[in-house]
Amino acid sequence: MSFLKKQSVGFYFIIVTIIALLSSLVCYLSNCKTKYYTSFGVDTSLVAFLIIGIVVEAAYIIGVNKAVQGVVIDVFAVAGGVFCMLAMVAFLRVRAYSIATILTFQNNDSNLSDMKGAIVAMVLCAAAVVLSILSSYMRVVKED
Amino acid sequence: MKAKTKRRIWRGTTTTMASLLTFTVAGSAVVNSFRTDIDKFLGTTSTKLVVENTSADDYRYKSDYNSTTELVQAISDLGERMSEEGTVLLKNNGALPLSQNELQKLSLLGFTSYYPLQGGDRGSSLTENTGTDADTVDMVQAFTEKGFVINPTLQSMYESMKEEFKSDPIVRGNGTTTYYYHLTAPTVTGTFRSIEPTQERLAEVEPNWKESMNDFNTILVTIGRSSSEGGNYLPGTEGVNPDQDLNQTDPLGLSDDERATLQAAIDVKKETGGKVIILLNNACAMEIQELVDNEDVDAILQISLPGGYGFYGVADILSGDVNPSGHLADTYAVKNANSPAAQNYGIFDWTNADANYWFQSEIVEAENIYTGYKYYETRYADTVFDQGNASSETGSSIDGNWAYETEVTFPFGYGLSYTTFSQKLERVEVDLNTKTVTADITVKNTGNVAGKDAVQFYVSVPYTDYDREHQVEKSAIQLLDYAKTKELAPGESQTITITADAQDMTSWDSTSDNEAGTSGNYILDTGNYYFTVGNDVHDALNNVLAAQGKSVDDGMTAEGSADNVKNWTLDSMDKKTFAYSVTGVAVENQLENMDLNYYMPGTVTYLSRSDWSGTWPVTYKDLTATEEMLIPLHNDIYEITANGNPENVTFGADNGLTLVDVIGLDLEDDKWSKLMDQITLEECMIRTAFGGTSVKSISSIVSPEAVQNDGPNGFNSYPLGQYANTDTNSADPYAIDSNDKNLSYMAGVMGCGTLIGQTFSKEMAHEYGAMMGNYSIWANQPILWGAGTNLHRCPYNARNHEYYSEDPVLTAYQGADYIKGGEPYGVILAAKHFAFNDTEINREGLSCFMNEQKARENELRGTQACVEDAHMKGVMTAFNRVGVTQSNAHTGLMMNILHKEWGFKGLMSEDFIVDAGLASLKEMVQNGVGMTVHTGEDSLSAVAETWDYWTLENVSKDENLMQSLKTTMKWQNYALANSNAMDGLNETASFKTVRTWYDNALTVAQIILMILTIAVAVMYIRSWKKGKGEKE
Repeated sequence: MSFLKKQSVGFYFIIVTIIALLSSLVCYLSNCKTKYYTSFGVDTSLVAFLIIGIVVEAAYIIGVNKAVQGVVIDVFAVAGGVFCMLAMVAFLRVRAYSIATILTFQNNDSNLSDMKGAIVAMVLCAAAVVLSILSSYMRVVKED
Repeated sequence: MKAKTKRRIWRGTTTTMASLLTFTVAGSAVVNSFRTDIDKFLGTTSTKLVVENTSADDYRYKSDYNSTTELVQAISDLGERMSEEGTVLLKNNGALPLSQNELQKLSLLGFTSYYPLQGGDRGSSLTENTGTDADTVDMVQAFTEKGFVINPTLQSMYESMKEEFKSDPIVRGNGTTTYYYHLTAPTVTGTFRSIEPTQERLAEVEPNWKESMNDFNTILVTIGRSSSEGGNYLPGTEGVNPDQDLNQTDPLGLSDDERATLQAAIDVKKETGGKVIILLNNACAMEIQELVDNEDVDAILQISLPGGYGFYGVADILSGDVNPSGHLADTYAVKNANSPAAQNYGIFDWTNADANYWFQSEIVEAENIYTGYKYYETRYADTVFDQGNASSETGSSIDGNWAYETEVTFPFGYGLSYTTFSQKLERVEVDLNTKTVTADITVKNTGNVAGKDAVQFYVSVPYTDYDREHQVEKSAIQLLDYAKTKELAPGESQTITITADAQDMTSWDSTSDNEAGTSGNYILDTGNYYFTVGNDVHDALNNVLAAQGKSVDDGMTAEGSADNVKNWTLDSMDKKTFAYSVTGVAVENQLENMDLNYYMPGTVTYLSRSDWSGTWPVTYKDLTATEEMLIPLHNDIYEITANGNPENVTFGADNGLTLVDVIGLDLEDDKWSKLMDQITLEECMIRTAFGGTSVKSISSIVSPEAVQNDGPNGFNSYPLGQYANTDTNSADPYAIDSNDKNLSYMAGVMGCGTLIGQTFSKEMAHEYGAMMGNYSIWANQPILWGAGTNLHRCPYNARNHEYYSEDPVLTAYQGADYIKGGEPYGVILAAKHFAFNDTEINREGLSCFMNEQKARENELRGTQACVEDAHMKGVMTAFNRVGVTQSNAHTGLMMNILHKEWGFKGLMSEDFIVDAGLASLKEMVQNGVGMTVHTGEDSLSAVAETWDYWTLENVSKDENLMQSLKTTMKWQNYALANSNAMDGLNETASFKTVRTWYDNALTVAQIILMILTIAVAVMYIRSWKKGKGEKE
């Protein structure tokens, strides 16, 4: 309890960022198994960016809570945003064209359903980008 | 401010800037991958052709119009005339045409009157134009402009209900959301939902709506059924929304809400003495027997999907300014679901379906050749001859024996006029040396009003014991050719000479020996051939039956005219005349593996007129693909291997030629070989892999990028100004001023393909092709996927609007004349979707099974003349499979029939297949298909990310593949060299890469963000140091 009491708003933003990234990852992997996207395979760079994003954000709050001070720990805050953004761009690369195609040429219930899964994953990733950036302005622990 | 707070702010700002910098840098790579599409979307260009000393002579194709104003107004005029000639008068008790007085008191009933179906959805959609010199109009606007007066109470009522007719949201490819305000077709798995307002709802909105019609008692009731790419109607009650209880037995039949709307009109008519006229706004044949039987319905006009100007034409027919001359391009059956084709129309998944390979479902076209009228009329003939169990209950729409009268509402070719005509078949000459059938038909206007008439020239070929023994099927009657008269004044005559292609009356016999020493041949059977004319196919068949000694006493629906039949006798079976194709290739079976029985012997029983009952199609579902079938179903047929001598294939030679140097030259000319030796293997590999929505430029031979457009209702994809030359100081005679008000004009405005079929006018098709050619010159858009040559196998395919007809001959010659019309203008008018794309259900990877006779005599015949007669230079392949083999990968169809038998030489693109495996790249290039719709960076590494086998190392050891790559590229560039894509180019042309505004914007953003990131990082470090100092 005392651990939570010493956390500031930035901590919660980062936790939500991690949840968003994790959800995005789960949604993406699940989306890769849908009928429409199954033959597209899994994009390893996207998965890597999402996982690294999660690890970096987690490392950041752990580091801050361990009272690690200085530029080194703040680099994690910056890196978190960067990896979230890299994941977002990777999402655009692997899904944007197919979404446009479904909407234009392959507009049926099944494909739309699969496409919605992809969009949910992308929206979660986009949310993680915003949250990550916002959290970097905030205090993670109250004595920070 | 505290140092820590400052530090957080600089940390956050650093994160923001670094993230944005990441976005712009990583985004640049994505931009390069999608550059083609981005350029299309933004109207930018990333490569530029630089040409020196351009002169007007370098613009080889000439437009008939001097300005965009002339051009778009001509399109409007043609659109109006297309509807005048394509609208079909189905019923008229004398109510039409309307008098001037009646036109001043029109009530438009039915919400579709105000929210009409002018094109399809998601394909051949109407492009509405406003603020141009030829704005599109709906029904109300057109009628008003023509001086008709419309009941304002009804108009206000329906217009106030607009939101009730709003479709589900439609998200466009660019991400924006829109809505249709008209009836929409169900999705492939959906059901039809009526949105015709109830009487109660109308009374709620406008209590006096019925009374308002007392003074406006010329009542037009519009009933529609929408068309859509990706849309579908499921047969029977299964296709109707189960939550609505509207006594609707078929999605193409009427609902109680529509019946009530009609009854309201009839009630007013009975009280006030007005008129009730129905406008059928549809492209899929509807079930309308009850409308025909209803004596209170005075007239029925089938207006199809009339496009952006067609309602002007409908108005002219209503007023009598124009006499209707359209004829149905499809049979209107009493119950569509009872046709043999409908028994295998729907969703039939493989039991071992595998989404990884896009094999989901199959369709077995067990109806054999008997689609549309070939079924109804042949079975009718057999009832008259009392043969083949034709009168059995099987397939009957009533409780009892099958009878033509209870099965067909309107036959193929049916159409009335305000006048009457007589047609006399004067002469028929069959000349097998020239492979022609020549006929003279005299048409006389025997009525009191001027008008045009369609001449429908039919043949009935013998059905013999040989056919029964060898499973060769014969339609009792088939269209051989057609023509339209000029406008004939009352009493005036015209003799039309038709020269038909005799091959159109041959039959494909898969068992016959042939000149290739194998099996499969076109045959003409021994026996009597009957030639005749008729106002429709049934009329013509009755003539033949009369000539065969039959009468009403034998069960005929009406007496025929034996006098209008010419007989030709063939004494012995002819297997020689058509044994070689127009290219001199000996024909043989090419589609044996399209027959399910090839893989699963004895599975399919094909419908035969020898026993209608015993061979009636069962529904083939829950099929399991065998191991043998899984190989092509896994889209991996060809293995790239080291073969031949790769040194035999020359790439990258320096012969100093460009594509300009081979304009107008035959492919056999040595210059073509030398030019194609210049192309590099890398270019061939990249260009075949990445195409997208344009044919991309090739620098080694200076082949320009050529923009592709859809579709059958005109240039639908881009506005006139998107690629037009706006440099009025250039030598281009068709440069458009940048302030031209027609720059935003989009030409997806013509009536749908079915309407064009209903004109039965090759001249109209030709004129339309010429119009698109003119537009192409002004718009700098040289390729149009505009000839929809798939057939209407079933009315349930909601995409039928893009195709002409159920009949292959009508399809073939409307398509061919359209293509011929465009040729002098250098536009590549191309056919789609080759072949057998006759349903939208699971169309990607759908396995279409049928026998070769059906394939050749129906669907393929619908495209054949476009190649053989019109020398078409573009073909789009199909989403579906030919049997279990993806259409692109089917060598029998693509290479052996299309290229070798028919002689096709031109550009071919896949349809929008997004799955790399299904696209079958290594197989398609061997069949002459030159591009997929995939896009990406112009590099082999980018290509290999999509197709890992498509590497220089692999391909460069395979001589066969390399030869195919060069041949495919040669054919593609042959099409371009002989098109207006070359306009403005001369021998000085060369490519230059240009930076677009978005490239510059990205670079500037990267520089600024990099500076800002460094700056805020420095500020962060300073604040950190400062904070550290304070702390210390």
